Amino acid sequence: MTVQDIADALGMTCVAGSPEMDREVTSGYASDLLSDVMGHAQDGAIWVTSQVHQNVVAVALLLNLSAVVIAGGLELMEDAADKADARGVPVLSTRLPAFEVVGRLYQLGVRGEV
Amino acid sequence: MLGAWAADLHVHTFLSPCASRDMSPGAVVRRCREVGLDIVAITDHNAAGNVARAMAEAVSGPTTGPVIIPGMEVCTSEELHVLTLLPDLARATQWEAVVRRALTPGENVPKIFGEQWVQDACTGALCSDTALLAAPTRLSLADVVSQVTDLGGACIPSHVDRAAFSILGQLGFVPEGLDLAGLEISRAINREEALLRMPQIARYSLISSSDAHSLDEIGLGCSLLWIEEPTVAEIILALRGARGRRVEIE
Repeated sequence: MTVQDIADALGMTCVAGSPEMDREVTSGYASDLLSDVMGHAQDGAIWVTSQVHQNVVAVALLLNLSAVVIAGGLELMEDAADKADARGVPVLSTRLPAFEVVGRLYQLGVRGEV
Repeated sequence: MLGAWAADLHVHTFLSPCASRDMSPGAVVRRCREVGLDIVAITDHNAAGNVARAMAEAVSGPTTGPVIIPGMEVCTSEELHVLTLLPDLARATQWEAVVRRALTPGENVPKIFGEQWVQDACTGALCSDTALLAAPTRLSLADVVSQVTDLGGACIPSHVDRAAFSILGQLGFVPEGLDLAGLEISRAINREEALLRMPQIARYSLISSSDAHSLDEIGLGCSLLWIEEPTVAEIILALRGARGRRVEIE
């Protein structure tokens, strides 16, 4: 399943990094602590968070995540969007709260690593 | 005798991966002098490697100043930023060693986070700090406050009005029982707006700083300190409003 498939299925908007929407999503992770994500998210994971600053993009790059989902209708900061565009990190935005996003991703077949 | 000192207690150098590459300690010090600052805290992310060079630059040449306060902006385990100001270079070095042991393991990736340059205090030689300074440390806010306070330093949570990496953004409110010297509001907001938006900060002393990540941001935020001499102990008194000392911001 690609980032685009997920965005379409959940009605999420791509707010940055759109040329990379064909990336394969291989797992999922949800957390708002960067240190936790850095320690546990897997290569290829889609990451659900309510953090919106540019270090989110840096962490996604560092771990080679497939995409970031900004949940709860929050807006990605401008410098973060610029960085995601420049470095090709797809960032999706949704009004759905994080709990709901994760539930729907799970329904689509995305799993976390346990 | 009390005097008014223009202080910017939050300035980065090119050791911070997110700061501009022309922010050598010398360039920072010269710019601070140009904009008329009397006291400047050098506060790089989780590191103090350029403090000694900045201190040396501030006392060399025909014009001296400003007074450099050794500091660091530490990212706690709660992922909030706190300015830590130390009384002298020796204690800053001691504190830096504690922070370094608590850094997220791994090496910096300059292409992702940015370069981290350290300039030798004596020779001016440049080298890279290879630690992962952009990541949070394992130290909790309570740990940071107790250890810095024990060293005679001051802790001031950074840019409390911002959502990212701020004590209010991460914790929702300022926890009771912490020996905080004060709180910093960003230069995006003045005191009046800050108190309207965040009434819970009214019981803390507020400072305003530039949080400069580029040379042209230096001077865009500052606090006026009414103190006897430019030391951390006096700054703490000013933040407490003790013995006639005080802090004024816009």
